[in-house]
Amino acid sequence: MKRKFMFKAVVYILAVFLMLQTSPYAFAHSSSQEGILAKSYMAEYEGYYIGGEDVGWSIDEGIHTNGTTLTYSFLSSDSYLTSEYRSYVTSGASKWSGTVTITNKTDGSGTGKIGTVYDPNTYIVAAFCNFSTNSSGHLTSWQILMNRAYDQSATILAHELGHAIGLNDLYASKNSGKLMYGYTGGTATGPTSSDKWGAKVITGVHSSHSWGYKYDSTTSTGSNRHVKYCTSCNGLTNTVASCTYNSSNICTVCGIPFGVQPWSIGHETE
Amino acid sequence: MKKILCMIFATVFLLLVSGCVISTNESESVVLPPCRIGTSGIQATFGDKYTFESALAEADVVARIEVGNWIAEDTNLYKTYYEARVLQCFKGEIPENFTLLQEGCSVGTMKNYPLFISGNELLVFLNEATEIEYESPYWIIGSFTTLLDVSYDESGARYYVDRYGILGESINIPSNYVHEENVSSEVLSVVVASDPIVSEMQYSYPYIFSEADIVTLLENK
Repeated sequence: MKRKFMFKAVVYILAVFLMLQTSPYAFAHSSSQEGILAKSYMAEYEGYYIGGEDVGWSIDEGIHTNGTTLTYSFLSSDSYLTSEYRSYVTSGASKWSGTVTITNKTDGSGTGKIGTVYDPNTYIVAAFCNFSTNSSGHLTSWQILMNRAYDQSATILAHELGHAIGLNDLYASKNSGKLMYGYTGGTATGPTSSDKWGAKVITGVHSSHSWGYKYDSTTSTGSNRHVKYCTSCNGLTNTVASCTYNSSNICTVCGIPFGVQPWSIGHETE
Repeated sequence: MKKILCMIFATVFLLLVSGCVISTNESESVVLPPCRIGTSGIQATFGDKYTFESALAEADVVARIEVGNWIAEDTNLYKTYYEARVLQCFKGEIPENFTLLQEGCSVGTMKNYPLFISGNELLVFLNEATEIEYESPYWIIGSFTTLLDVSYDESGARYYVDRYGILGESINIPSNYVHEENVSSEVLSVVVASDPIVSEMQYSYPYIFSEADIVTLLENK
């Protein structure tokens, strides 16, 4: 009887304690980036990495369009949405032609809504925002806002529509030639082959990968690790394995000799 | 035996409840944002990429600051306003107490850029904001790409930590303390301990600079 009471008392105390310890914060997001995409192996590398930078495209499997079509409408309530702004959207959408079909629904029924804001107190030129998805990660609504405090262009809008497709921003200087480079100073004027590969992966057009192996990192003993990647789209998997060497000290899987560090994934070398 | 257990239980319960009350009183003096991460995300296209040099040249003010209370948010512009205090000013003139603007609000935040909370200590490049109703408003040029966290080692020496590595890659200082494990482990543990959300983020922390190095760089420019 006493034991039963003691047990109940301990459980009750613990329950009260746990209730009082509950965090006041709610973490709404979690990483849903699994499958074929770059990972951040910063523990092994001595450099700066954000997932996807090494590949040249980065996708978010939790936020993307369903299939290879995308629809949008202009915000009817936005009186600042001049024909010039609308033409940037139309031209930006046409830049994805052949990869994703992006259509303007003039009756207002588009999944995405595009409009403008005026904010001189920000670094943001344009933004993809206010989105929601279903349980499959398919976008059910989204918004693109052009900041009238900055010059807009068809390239910027093509970039924003890239987010609606499912592509993430890239920030490393080595990706300044990609459409999804996160700064307006990039050199791409439309989707590059790399951007298109990312779009093909996220829309499911490219799903039969041709796997190969390439250098990943070197252990403290001098032996290498290799990573599995697609030789077409260049997407990495999270399969990193230690090299297995033959009698000539060459890895039987990736073919890289012991002690050789090709840095073939395109590391930041600074 | 039963009475003793009841007394222990009552004592523990009272201690826990009183602890909770103290915690609530403390939190009443600090106004936190409604959440740290917005209900939706923001993928933003930024202006030209800043280097340390270009940010320093373009900023009205470069200062080490402490974020204070949350003031308000503008959900149309995805903006949050905070009280903030200047701890050390390296460039320009700014009132000691000012209003800090941050991109993001409870409706949407950028990935790995949660809303600030009171107590965050940062090195920021600021420009004076216009058309804002709050007193002495300043916005961070470069958004999260130019932010440096301020941290300390066990002896109290100050360090500047780059969460993202975007600004740090442009800083030409030979001593990156991220490679000195005894320093980096202390400094990064302080960063993590100072803000509960930091451990939830995927920061790579590729650069840690000493105060002497950063101050020298700021003063030489």
